[in-house]
Amino acid sequence: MKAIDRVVLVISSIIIVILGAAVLASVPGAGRDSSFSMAFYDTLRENKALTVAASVLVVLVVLYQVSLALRTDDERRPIVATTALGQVQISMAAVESIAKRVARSVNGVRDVDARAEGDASGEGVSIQLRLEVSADSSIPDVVEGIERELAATISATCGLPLKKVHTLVKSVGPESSKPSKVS
Amino acid sequence: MELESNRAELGTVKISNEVVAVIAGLAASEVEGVVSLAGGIAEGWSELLGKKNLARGVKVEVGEKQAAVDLNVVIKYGSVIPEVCSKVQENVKRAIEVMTGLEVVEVNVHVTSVFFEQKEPTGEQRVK
Repeated sequence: MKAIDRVVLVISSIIIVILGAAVLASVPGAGRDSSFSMAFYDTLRENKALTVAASVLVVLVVLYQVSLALRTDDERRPIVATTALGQVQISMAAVESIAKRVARSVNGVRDVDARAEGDASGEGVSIQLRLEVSADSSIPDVVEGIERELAATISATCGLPLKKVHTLVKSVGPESSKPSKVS
Repeated sequence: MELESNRAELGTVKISNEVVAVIAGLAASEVEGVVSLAGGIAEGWSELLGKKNLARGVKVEVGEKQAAVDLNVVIKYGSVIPEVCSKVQENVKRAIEVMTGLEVVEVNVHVTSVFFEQKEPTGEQRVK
């Protein structure tokens, strides 16, 4: 997440809290009158410049949030191959989905998150994996299996060599297939 | 922009960009390994509103005699992507040239995602 996204998120959170508090305080209840809401709206009417500025800020924040929601996240450079008829581009999201599928197919992998990056030379791809492995698995065997399968699949499907695989084993989950305790 | 052929004796023939895009989209979809063409958000909304868009995921530039095409495709998992894309380029070029008479100078294919046909393997079927 970019710094500007964080700032806008914080501002929008503050706006929501303030508006929420104002609405709650405006609700008349037992033993409470609506004097707060009247005072609140009077203040808004009296400080027109401030009200307009706050309204503009709210609208801008909302527009930014909507554009953020609609924006495609993948701004990374795709793999590009030039052919006689033009270019063939493979997005990093596509490579990542293949990598996740391949890694999940290896015995001992419970969950995986992948991030792919094109090589600076454009002649290969590097993949970062974050794994959750099952408790009964040998991590070196699992990682070796993933690297072997990934290298074969990426090269076969994308037509590019797999340059590097960085693997982080972030957690260990329950065993994948426990023997039955009852006979 | 529209392509317009001048035929003095019989009148003119106009082929709109959308027609070229539809031809390209259909030609690309015919290739084995291509699951669909991936459109943007605007195209997705228009389809939700009931407007079927055969040119979805296709962008064309049409000149007087030449055309260039950009396609966003979704490829089936297990396909050899460069091979499928090469077939898409050839098929799209041939279809447009045969149907419109335009010379296709460039067909750029962008693989946006991969489609997984089957469910992920269960624990018992996993590779060892």
